[in-house]
Amino acid sequence: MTKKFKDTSITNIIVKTIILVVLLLFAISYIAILVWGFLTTLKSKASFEFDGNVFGFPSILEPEFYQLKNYKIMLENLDLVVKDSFYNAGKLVSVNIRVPFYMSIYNSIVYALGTAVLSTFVTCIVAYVCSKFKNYVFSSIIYMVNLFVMVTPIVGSSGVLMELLRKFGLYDTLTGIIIPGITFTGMYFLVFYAMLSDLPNSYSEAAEIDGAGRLRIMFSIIIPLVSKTISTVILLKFIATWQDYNTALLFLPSHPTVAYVIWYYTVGGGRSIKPELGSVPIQISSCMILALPIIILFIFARDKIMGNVSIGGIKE
Amino acid sequence: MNKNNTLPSRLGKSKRERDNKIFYYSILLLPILQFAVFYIYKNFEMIRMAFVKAEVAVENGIVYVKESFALFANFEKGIQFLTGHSYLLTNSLINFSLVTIPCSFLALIFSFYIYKKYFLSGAFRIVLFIPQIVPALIFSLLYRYLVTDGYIALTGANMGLLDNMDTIFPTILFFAFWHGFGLNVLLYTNAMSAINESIVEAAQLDRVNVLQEFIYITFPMIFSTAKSLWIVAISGIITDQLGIHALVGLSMSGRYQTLGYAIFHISSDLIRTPYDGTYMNMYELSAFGVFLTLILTPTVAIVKKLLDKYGPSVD
Repeated sequence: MTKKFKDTSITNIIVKTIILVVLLLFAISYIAILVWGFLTTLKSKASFEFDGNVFGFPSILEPEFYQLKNYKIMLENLDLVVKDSFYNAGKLVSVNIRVPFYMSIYNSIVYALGTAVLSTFVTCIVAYVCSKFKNYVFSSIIYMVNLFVMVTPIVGSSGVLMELLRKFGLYDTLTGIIIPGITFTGMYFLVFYAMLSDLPNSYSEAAEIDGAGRLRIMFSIIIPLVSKTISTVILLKFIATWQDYNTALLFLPSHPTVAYVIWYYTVGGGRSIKPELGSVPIQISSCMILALPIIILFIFARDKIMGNVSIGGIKE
Repeated sequence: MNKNNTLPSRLGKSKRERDNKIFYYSILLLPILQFAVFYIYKNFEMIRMAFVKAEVAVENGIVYVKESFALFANFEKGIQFLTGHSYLLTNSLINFSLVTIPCSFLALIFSFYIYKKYFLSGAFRIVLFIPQIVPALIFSLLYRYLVTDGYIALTGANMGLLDNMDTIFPTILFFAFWHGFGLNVLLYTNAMSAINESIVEAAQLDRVNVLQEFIYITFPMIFSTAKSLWIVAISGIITDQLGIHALVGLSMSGRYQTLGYAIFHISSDLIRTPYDGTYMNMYELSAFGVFLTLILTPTVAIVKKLLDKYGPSVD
């Protein structure tokens, strides 16, 4: 066995130490700011804003600490009044609708889960047929189109997309926000393509000899083989979609998502509408609630998220 | 006679080929249809709208739109907007030079440290990924209160760093830098861990130091990953909102906006008034988008060519 060479030169030690110090600064700052944020959610408005207890510990005697009062106030007040327009007897009518917070949670779950699952599935099966049937003309076209889409930045098309969705009657609907996202293009196409190209044909050939059809081979053999990567990509996409408030702001004006509601009440102008949500500790509490599902997912699926994806292929 | 050339065998082959084709095209049908509508049609429509103007009339609450050919009028409006707000491009380029490039460089260095499994590397790998896991809105808000309430409490200043016109832009740039490289670290470390260990061991026997190993072995081996990320990052020049939206909402002073933020701001203005926005209508926005795309696409192509030509070789 080769004995590993350990470089103890001055260059090595200096370089490692400098990187270590910088890394420590970043790591400590990420953790410290989250801890500070969490402690702030346990402080009262008076303590934070008037007594100047910005960096100190919360008082255990205040209900904000022992009753988690800020979280309660926040959950009771995150409903949102939105404007909806529709035609009634040929006339455009606008009405105000109060959307309870649980509906925002529902919208977020449908949007994040729908987009993540469907787009990952579509990307995977398109990558599969393109890697399996490389000699078909569409396979190379799709591969090239994907590269083109990835390196061609197109901006300013959101106005057109709004019009397009309006024409289809899909604007301001959950279906209308999910369908444009179910595309096979993007980085994950390359990830699936590289991995599926590396799979030996012997698996599907053996199944074919046993009489399995192509769909059965795909669903019973190929997809289980790449299930780890599929779940990783779904998780990454879910996380990205769950925290996306921009899309909801543009395309779901009367069906707010959790991320949008929280953005609206923290920086989007909603503070003046609901003064009870205006204090700093409550504002931070509302943000913490946005992180909760993602932190739970991360705790249970950390290894999947961190280890399975690379642009050149997949590490299994 | 060749056994594979018999009639039943040929019939079997053609049936198999036919089944393959049916399977292939039926799988691709819906994804291609989706792509045709939401990419090809959408972008062609954007190009068409770039050359069109609209007259709008409202009768009995119903909106009637009459479109006519506008030649380059919408492009002129877009170019006027850009020249009248030249700071948008300047700010975007400052962001690219001071945030995107240094972040990418640091991500490479940090990934190398983690890949080499130096002291605390496992913990760093997780902690550096935190900004990707914890919603950006949370980090933005915490940062915002830290540099306003926190800064005032610490220094006794009259106003926070985001309230002061002299400090707002550097404060936002610092946030983007501090928050910006989690996913890159993940992709780089995964790419580095795929490097063949025997190459590294051979180099170590030749007593290369850590810098030489990075420059001559690790970086060339992961260059294709780095290249992909850099090319995507160039697109960020016109799309990156710099986190402004999450830090200060829609009320950011124009002087410190980036192109990405301005475009989003214009788009959000079109939700209710697509034909008559405050800054541009949707036809003018389309022309503006086409114009920016026409500038950036060749830039991306040139950078890709240069990276292909002058980038390090695996050999």
